[in-house]
Amino acid sequence: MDRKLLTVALLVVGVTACGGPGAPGAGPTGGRTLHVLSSIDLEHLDPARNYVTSAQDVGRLIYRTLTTYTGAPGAKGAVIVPDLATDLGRSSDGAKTWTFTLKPGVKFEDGRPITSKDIKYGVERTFAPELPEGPPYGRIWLEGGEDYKGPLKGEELDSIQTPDDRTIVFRLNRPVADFGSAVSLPMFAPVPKDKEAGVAYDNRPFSSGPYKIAAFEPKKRVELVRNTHWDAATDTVRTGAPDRIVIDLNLDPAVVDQRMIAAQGADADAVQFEPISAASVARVLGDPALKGRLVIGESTNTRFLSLNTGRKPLSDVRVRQALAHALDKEALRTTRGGPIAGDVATTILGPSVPGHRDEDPYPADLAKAKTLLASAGYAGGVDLTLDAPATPGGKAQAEAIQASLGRAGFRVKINEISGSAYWSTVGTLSQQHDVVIDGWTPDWTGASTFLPNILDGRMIVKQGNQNRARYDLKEVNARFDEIAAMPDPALAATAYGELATRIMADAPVVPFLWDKAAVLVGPNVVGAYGHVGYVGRVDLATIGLKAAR
Amino acid sequence: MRPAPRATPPPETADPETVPVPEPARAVVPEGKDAADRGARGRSARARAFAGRFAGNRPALAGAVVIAVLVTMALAAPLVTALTGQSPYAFHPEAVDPAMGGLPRGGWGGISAEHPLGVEPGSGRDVLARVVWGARVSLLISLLATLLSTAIGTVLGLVAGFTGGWTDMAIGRLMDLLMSFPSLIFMIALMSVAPDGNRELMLVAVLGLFGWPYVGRIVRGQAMALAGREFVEAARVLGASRRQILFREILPNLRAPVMVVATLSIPGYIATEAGLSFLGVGVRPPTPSWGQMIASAVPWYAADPVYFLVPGLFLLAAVLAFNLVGDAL
Repeated sequence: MDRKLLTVALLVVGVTACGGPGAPGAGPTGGRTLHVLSSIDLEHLDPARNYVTSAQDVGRLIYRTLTTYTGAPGAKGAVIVPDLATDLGRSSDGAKTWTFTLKPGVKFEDGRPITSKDIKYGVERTFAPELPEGPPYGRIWLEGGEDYKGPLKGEELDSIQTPDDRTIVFRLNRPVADFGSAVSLPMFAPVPKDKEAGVAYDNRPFSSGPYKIAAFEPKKRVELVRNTHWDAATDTVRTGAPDRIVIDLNLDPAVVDQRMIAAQGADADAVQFEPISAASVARVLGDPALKGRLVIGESTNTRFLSLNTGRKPLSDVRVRQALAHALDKEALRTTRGGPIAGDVATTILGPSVPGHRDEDPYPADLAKAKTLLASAGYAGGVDLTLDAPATPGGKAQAEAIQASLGRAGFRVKINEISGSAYWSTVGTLSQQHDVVIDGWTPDWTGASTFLPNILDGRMIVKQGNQNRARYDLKEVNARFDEIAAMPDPALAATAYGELATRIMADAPVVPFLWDKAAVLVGPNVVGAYGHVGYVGRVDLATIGLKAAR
Repeated sequence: MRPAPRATPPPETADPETVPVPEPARAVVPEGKDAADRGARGRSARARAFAGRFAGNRPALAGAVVIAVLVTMALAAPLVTALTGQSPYAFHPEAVDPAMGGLPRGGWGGISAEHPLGVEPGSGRDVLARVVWGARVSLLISLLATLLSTAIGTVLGLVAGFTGGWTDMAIGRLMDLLMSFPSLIFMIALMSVAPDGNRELMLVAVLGLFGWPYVGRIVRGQAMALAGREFVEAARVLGASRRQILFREILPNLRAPVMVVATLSIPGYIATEAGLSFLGVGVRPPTPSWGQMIASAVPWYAADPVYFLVPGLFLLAAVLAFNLVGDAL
C-alpha cells in the first residue's frame, strides 16, 4: 500500500560516518537461524524493481547502497548515513552534480571488489522498460534520462560517470538538495554487468550485503545465508548476527499471530513481519509476557482518504470539507486495532515528517458537516462511491467510513476491489471513483517525496496515478517547484509544512491515521526495534539472537 | 358407438402426429378429468398419511418448528430491530474498547440488555440485528436459488427423460458438464469479476445455474421410467399430445421426488451462500449475511468466541432443520 520509504536529509546534519547500530541492550550474537514470518509477499527483490517498504527491509540484508538509514529506533532511524560511500555525497554546480567515493575493501559475494561501474550499471537498469517497478527518480532527475532505454541493449547513460573504480558522478537536470538521501534507495545498489539476467535477476540478486540467497521459492520462502565476503568493518549499520535468515511468505495473518504468541520451537527465534491483527491485540496486551515481546515501531506513513476533486459532487470544496468534518477517525482506527495501530491523523504530514505542523483544520463536527453540505446545495444528502480493497481489513474500514459519513447525509456505496489489483485499479483514472482509501510513505523521510508525489497536478497520469485526489492547482504546483529548488533542507521543510496547511484548506485528502506497527518477536530475539524507514517493521539488518542455551 | 373409436386408434398411435383432432379431444378430456378427480382424492389421502408420518417424526417436527421460527424472524426483521432499537448498520464505539483492539466491553461478546447477543468487535454493531437481517439474506437467497434450480431442473429433466434421443443426449451431457465442473471455484471466479449489480440476484442466478443438474438428473431418470408405464401408454394410445402427457401424466407423479430434492438442496444453498460470503465474493458490505459474519469472526475466535458462536449456531440450526424436514418427506 504504501510505496516506500524514507528518510531525511534534513536530519542528516551533524551525523557522522560512525552512526553505529542503535540496537539497545545485549549485543546480538550469532550462531542461529532467524525466522521471519510474513503474511505478505515480497514482490520484487531485484534492486531496480524493489520499491515497497517490506521488500526494502529484506533487500537491505542482501545489497548495500551508496547511503542507507541508520539502524535505530524511533525518529533517529530516519537519519541517513554513508553505506558503500565514504560520505553523503559532495555536491557542486548548485546541487546539480553529485560525487560519491566508495569505501575501500567492499566486495561482492564472490570476493570481487565493488566498483563504481557496478553502481552505475545498477542505476541504468532502472531505465529498462522491462523493469518498470522501481522509483522514477533516475528518469526524472538524470540528464538525458527521458530518452534512455536502459543498458540491456548495450547503451550507457552519459550523465553517470565513473572516472575511476571508486568514484561515481551523477549529473542532474535540476538541483536536488537531498540527493544524498535518494541514493539510499535500492536502485542505487551495485549490480555486476555479467550477472544481468533481465527480469530473472529478481530470483537471485547478487549479494553485496551480509547475506546471500541460498534458496528462493517465490511467494513461499527465502533462505539467506552468510556472505563470507561481507566485511563488518566496512559497514556501520548492519550487524549480520544470525548465521541464516529464513523468511516464510504469504502465511495466514491469524496463523502468524498464533505462532508468535505460542513461540514454540523455532518460532522462539522468529519475528513477525506485519503488524498483529486487531483480534490479537487484547490477548497480547492482556498478558505481561506477550506484552514484553511486543515491539512498536513508528513510521512516516499517513493513511488518508483521497477525494476525487475532478468530479461532482466532490469538486465542491464545501462537500469535501463536510466529509472531513463528518469522518469518525477514531472508529476507523478501532477497526485497525485501536491506539496500537497509530495516532489519529489531523493533517497530511505526520509528526515524524520534518515540516509537520500541529494543526487540526477539520475536527469531528457533525453539525458543521451538515451545514456545509446544505450550503453546497446538498441538504438532501449526497451519493458517493468508495473504492476499498476486498480484504477483511479493507471491508471493516469501508463500513466504518460508510457508517460515520452516513450520519451527516453522505450515502456511501462501497466498491470492493480485489486486494492484489487494488493499487493498479485506483491508479487508473477511468476506474477510480469518488473516494479512495489511500496512504503514503515518503521515499525518504521528508516532505519532498510526499506532497509532490500525491498532490502535484502535473503528476496526474492515466495509469499508475498517485494523485488520486486529482488535485491540480497552479499556485500549489508552482510552489512545489520553488521549494524543490531551495538548497537549505530546513527551510524547505518549513515551506512544505506551510504548503500542507494551504492544501488542507482545500481538503483534497482526509488524513485519518499516522501509522504505527506493533509486531511480536520471539523470546530469543534481541535488539529488535521498529524502523521508521520500513513503516515500523522490525529492522532486519540489526537484529540478533540469544546464544544457544 | 363407443367401442369404435377405441378400436380404431391402434394403427394411428404409431404416428401420433396424424391423430384426427376431434376424436382424441373427446377421448382425452374425460380421461384428464378422471385423473384430476383421482388426483384430488389421492392427494388428500396422501396428505393425511404424510401428516401422520411427519407428526410421528420428532426430529422432523423440531426441524419444521425451527424453520418456522427462522422464517418468521427473517420476515419480521424490521420489527425485531425496531423493538430492540438497534440498527444492523449503526456503529457503537462506546460498546468496544479501542485500547484492546476493539474487543467488546464487558465480556461474553458484549452481551447486555441493549445488545442481547453482544456486539461486533471493532465496530460495536448489534449482533442480534445483524443475525436477524442476515437471516433474510441467507434464507431468501437459498429459497430463490432452490426455486430456480428446481424449475430449470424439472423442465429440462422432463424433456430429456421423455424425449430421449438427441435431446436427451444434449441435455444429459450439459448436466454432466455442469456437475463435473468444480463449481465453487467457478462461482468464486464469476462472482469476483461480475459487475457491481444486485449481488443477491447474482448469487441466486449463479447458485441456481450450477444447482439444476442435480434436480434434472433425478427428474430425467423418473421421467424415463414413467414414460414406459401403462397409464402413459394408455394416454398415448388415446391420442394425448406430447405436452399433455408430459404435464398431465408424468409431472404430477414427479412431485414427491422433486419436493424432497428441493428441500434437501435448501440447506446446501444456505451453506454455499455462506461459503461465498465467507470467501468475500458474496453479498456486499455492509449487508449482513451469516457467512459474512462468520468470516469476520474467524480471527476473533480466541479473543471473542461469542461473536463466532452466534452466527455459527444460526447457520447450523437452519441447515440441520431443513435437512431433517427433507429426510422426513
